[in-house]
Amino acid sequence: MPLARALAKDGDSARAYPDELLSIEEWSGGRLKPGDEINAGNVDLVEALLDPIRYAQIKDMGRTLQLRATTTDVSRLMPVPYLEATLRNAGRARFDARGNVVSDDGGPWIGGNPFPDPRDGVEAFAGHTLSWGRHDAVVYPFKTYALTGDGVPRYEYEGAWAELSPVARVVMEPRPHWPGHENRLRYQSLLFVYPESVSGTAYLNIWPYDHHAFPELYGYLPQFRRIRKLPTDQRFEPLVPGSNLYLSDAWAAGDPLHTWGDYRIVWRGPVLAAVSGGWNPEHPDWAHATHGGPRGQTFWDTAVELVPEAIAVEARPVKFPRAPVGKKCVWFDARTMLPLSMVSYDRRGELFRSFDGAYGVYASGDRQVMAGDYPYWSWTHVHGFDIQSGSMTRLEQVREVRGGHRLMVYDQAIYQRYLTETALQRHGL
Amino acid sequence: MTRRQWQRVSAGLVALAAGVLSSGAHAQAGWLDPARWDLSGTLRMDTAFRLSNSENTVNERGNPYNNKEVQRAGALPGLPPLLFDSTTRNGPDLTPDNHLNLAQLRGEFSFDYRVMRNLELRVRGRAVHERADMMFSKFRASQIGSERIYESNEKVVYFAPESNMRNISRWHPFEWSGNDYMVDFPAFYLNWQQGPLNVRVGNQQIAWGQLIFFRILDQVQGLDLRRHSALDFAGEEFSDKRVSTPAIRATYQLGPWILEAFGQKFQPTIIPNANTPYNFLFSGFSVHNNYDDVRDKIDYGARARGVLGPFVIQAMAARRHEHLGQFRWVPDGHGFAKNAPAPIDLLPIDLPLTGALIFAPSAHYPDPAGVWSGEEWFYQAGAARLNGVTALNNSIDQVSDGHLRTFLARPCPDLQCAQRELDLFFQLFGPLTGNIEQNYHQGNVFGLGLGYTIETPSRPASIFNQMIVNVEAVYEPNRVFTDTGLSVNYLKEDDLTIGVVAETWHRWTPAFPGMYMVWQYMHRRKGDMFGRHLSGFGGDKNNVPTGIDSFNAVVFAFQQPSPSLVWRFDFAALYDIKGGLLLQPAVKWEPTKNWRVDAFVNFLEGSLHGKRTENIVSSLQDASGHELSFRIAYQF
Repeated sequence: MPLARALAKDGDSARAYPDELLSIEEWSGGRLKPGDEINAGNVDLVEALLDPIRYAQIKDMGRTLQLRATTTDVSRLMPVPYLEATLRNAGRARFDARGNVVSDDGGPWIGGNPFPDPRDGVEAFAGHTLSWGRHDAVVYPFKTYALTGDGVPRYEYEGAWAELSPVARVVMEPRPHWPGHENRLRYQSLLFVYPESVSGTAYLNIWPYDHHAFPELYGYLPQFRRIRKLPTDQRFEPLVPGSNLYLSDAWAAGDPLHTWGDYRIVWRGPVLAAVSGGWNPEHPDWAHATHGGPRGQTFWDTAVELVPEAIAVEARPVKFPRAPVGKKCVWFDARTMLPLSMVSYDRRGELFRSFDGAYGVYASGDRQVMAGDYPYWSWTHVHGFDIQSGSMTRLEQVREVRGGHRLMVYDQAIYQRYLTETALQRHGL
Repeated sequence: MTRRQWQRVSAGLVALAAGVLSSGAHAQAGWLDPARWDLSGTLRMDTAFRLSNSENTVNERGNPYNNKEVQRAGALPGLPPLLFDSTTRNGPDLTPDNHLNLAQLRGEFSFDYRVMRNLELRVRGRAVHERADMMFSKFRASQIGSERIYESNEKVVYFAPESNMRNISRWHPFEWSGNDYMVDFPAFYLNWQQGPLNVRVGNQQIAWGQLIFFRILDQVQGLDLRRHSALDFAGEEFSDKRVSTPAIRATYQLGPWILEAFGQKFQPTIIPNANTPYNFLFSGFSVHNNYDDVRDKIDYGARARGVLGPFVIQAMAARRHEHLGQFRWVPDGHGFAKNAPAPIDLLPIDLPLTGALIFAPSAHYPDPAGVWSGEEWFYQAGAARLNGVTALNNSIDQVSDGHLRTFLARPCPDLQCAQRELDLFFQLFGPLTGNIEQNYHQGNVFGLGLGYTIETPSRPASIFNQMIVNVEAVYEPNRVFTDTGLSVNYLKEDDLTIGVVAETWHRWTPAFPGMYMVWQYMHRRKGDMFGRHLSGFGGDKNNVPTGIDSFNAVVFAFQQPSPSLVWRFDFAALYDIKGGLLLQPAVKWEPTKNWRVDAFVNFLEGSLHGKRTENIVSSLQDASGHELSFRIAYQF
């Protein structure tokens, strides 16, 4: 049964794939099973299921992965309202003459993934770029740790990341569009609260709906004590010292759609990815444990499962002539079009950086975090790794960070609290 | 508002804060709950080494006339010289051998307390201890036999502004300072957010405008120049200098527009004290500060900023006191003379009542800290951008109804006449200090700003792509300036300042992150960046000032981070088109999450071309010289 039909029927992807793509035990001929650990001793068994950098990390740097059973209930792999909108609005999306995704009425997109079964690379990226986190509005409190190539944790930051969609809304009223804001794709801000040297630093990106145009960028920098408009086309720089994370890396699609080009699907097949079970309610702050690397702190403990079909899409930064990245390859889960991992190459074609994230529903036993009518689904942690220097930046979503910043989801108050210049000013000292 | 009213308002705010805190405590369990508050801080050592073999020329130790023999020819106006002699200013005890401009140990902390979801108390404290005195020689009043000008204070006063502003008590309600320490709270306010409305009540900084360092729309608050003057790390602009004020500030987000209004207690700019390394007011001046007259006054203003088509526009209006104030001659402001005999150099003894009779009603008092010769008078006048002739004439004619005319002093038409008359004064009475008062006038300021982002989508590698250009202008009708002759009648003129800034990030190579670059230009019609009227520019020991038509300066600065941002290489240059150049190369290093090191050099050249006193850099150079600065910080 085709995937789209399987999902539309009851949200279970199992009918769309043969058994050997739904069970690691089947796939490996019984040599691996849920509960096993992938490590340097057995990673060769699953080399075909890993991107080249994760393979190298396991083979050479002491990274391990815990295997879990494949999740086939797609409602556990993305927010239910987004899934419902994807199914409800299937077939209503197209690109207009400018290359913007529009609905059949010619207006901005109306919610869910416009291209759940992408025919080409640009469709794969377009759907994801329209809605990074699959929520209409969300604030992620985060902590990030930057480690040097010898595994020393040198830097530690705390902050909050906020996203709000004024279009393609599936839960928040007014929907699908916020009147007066239809010409915007996204409001997004990033706020640092720790350490002292960056505390109060905040950036606000206002994305036009035009998929070619760069966002407007406003920054509150503590040294200036005021909000200033900032140039926005340099998106391949670390945001804070020691970090491997660039603006361009956000959700593996941090730049406007058409500032990258030459999109093409280069591969389809099964992969190992951390698409569920990433939430750690055992820790009061939802913090994750680490292992591996020279000092045992380089990698998050991560549980992965066999994803029956991933779509690998390559793209080149066509509007960034001096970007350090020559191309990137992103593996999307074909069932959800979520990015599973990203590998980028430098301009010489050498392996450069990689990102792999973990996701999950924030529900476990009798503990759960609600997002509207359903348990919250989101990313839980991310690795950002520079294979040329060996430096690692770990990022995790936590319950709360300094400044009282907590998870918020589907709340219009996020706009006033995080996504205006007044909001930036409020957070700055 | 009277001081008592201020006290009541302050008490009310404290009570309100306490009430809100306690109500919050009831509203949520445990007001000491660690989830409610955050505390972080920094310890930092700042050191600046002077690279030139001189000291601040407006200080006693650095006066270029020390140990220098000067010929004097005393004469009354209209008569040929009668008295010829030579004099040598304060002697060998004042050899300028200090090479440490700054050695400050500072601690800062930030404390946030969440009273309720939309109400926070935000506090930032700062404590600074100046240690330069403990390691290097310094000026002592007794070294020159000065009895009163420094009030017998043997210490150099680095922080307490009362040293310069002698007749006032605590200048800022959120600061406590002494000779070598200061403790203050640059931020101490309640922050309340209700939907699109943000209100801050308490001591806070308010900064406006897109230009950096060129304070065009940034008109709200003065500067505190006691911590490394304006020569600190350029990349931080004035964050450590802007004087916080007790204020109420409301900001409202109306779609793409921000509407903002404030009312604040007036707090003046604080200049470095006499004989401190960055002082720029001749130490022979005794300043009678009249801040007490305006300390309870309210400044207020409003601003709107928003998007109109492809432009970001902003407009502001404020009614505020001139932060630096204006200076003018005043008779014996501190009462030094009236109770004391004044020395008469030509007589072997001090005559009773001479102080009260001659100097108490005048703007001068005999003291070795003052001026010793007519030549030095004109040198100092040129350096201070004053007119030595009119300054003399005004001190004769305008102070105490022409009191000095009783003693045959007369105004002079030219420099030679004035120099001879001054020589005669100094021959008769010895070196003379000057009494000036500092007043703060309120004025209206109107500003406009226009911003545009250049985009070259067809040429994404262009340096102009995403370049943000802003033009800002302020107009101040009837702005009050210090008269260049220190007249009791201030200058009043309409003033216009225009600035342009272009800034961009540009990646030169894939191997390094983008370089942030800024170009700025500023044009001022009537005064320089320090508020000195341009008609006082161009004078020296042999010439009265001819003035300059306008003040024009350009800035280029860049920041180039390393690929990991662990290192950052900064450069800033300010060129005054009249011949001054300030260069500041800098490096910033953050090796770990806790440590940060900054190093930078200030290269100051005020003699590139033209007259040295026609640019502003020479004033900075005279004060600090070239210097090398280090900052080592530990944050927690």
